[in-house]
Amino acid sequence: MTRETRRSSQIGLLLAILLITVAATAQISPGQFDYALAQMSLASHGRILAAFEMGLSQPGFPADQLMALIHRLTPIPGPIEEKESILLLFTRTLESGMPIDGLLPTGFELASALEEGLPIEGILLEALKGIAQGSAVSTISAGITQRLTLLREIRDLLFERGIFRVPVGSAQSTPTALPADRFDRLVVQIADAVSDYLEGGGRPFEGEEMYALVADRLHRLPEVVVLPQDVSLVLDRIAPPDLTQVALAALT
Amino acid sequence: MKPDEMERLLRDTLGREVAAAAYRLEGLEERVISELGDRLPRQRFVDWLSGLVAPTRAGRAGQLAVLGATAALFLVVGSLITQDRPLGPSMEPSLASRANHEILFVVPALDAENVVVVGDFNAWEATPLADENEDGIWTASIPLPPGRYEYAFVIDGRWWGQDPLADEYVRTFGQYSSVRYVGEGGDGA
Repeated sequence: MTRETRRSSQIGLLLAILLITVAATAQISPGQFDYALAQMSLASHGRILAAFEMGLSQPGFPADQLMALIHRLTPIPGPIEEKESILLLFTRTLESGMPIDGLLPTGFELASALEEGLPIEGILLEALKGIAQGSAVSTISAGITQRLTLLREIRDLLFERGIFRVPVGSAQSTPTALPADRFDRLVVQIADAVSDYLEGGGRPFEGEEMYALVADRLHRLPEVVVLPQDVSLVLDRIAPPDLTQVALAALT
Repeated sequence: MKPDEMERLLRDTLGREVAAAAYRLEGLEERVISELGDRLPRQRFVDWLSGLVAPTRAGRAGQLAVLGATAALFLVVGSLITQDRPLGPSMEPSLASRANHEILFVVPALDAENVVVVGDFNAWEATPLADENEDGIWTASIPLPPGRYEYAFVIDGRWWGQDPLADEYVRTFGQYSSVRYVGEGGDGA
């Protein structure tokens, strides 16, 4: 190998290393976040962007994963509020000085739940409560995962017991076919009561106690939240052992 | 240290703490009741109305007759105007029952600098409470539609989740929050 050839190959190697280094350290810019968020027309656009910009200045900030989450959320149909709340989870976490890495898988879980059409508004509020309390990100993530499982289990339990969800406005073919909003509110309230019972230190085998809590909560809610006939319908069709089953599913 | 010694030590320490702060609790109940009382609708209109009533029985009978005739006239005119007219949307009971209720949040926090309430009605972001007369009783009135609401007070940065005025409590992420039911199904309002 001549001296000239050796020098050329050294320069080539140096350029290749330089190229790889530049590619590896390429950061997502605030402008890219701004553009991606603008596609969603969020009411809190400025606040979310400011928090993400603050994150970009921190070492190890998972900008690419956060951007992937925004891209995942953008095309999901349905109300913008829930998508915005998912991003606000990250915003508030950053604002409170906590790292968001541990919360990212939860963000994608919530996106999947939205795609599935699960009513996740209550779970998002629960997560915001966790942040307000200063709870650890890992605790909040575990809580969200458990509540998502319970939501699915309760929805499936109602389906199994012949209580159906029909689009709002469509004709009610049977008294057990509830308009989507009424069905969702029942699912949310039952899942929330079971979650609260478990998180408060209750055990899944205490089905009677869980059932009593669910019944009490449903009866206390005003009619604009759950209709009395829907409460009677659901309480007639589920039993304490059913709640034990869903609680076990959420904990395992 | 044995458990019973530890318990005695804890009890003594707590007893001393409570005794040291006891003077601040004197009259606290009266102050809270007075604060709540200030928020109730005042009776001034009734006082004003009683001033309009005639002092003699004959005078009051005359006033009553005039009022009755006026009411009858309004009823007749009203029925003619609204004949065959269906109820407007604003009169639907379902919409009326969704109307906001003014919910009063009260917390005694002596010597506190900053008291806020956080809850699912404000996405767990601070709504400040005020202590205008600086008696240590902090209040905020928040309009809420019927529903079930979880909340907690944050007093000088410390979570305070067990409001005695709450309908129930829940414990999530290791801390308590209070719950109020607002509307016809609940006790909150």
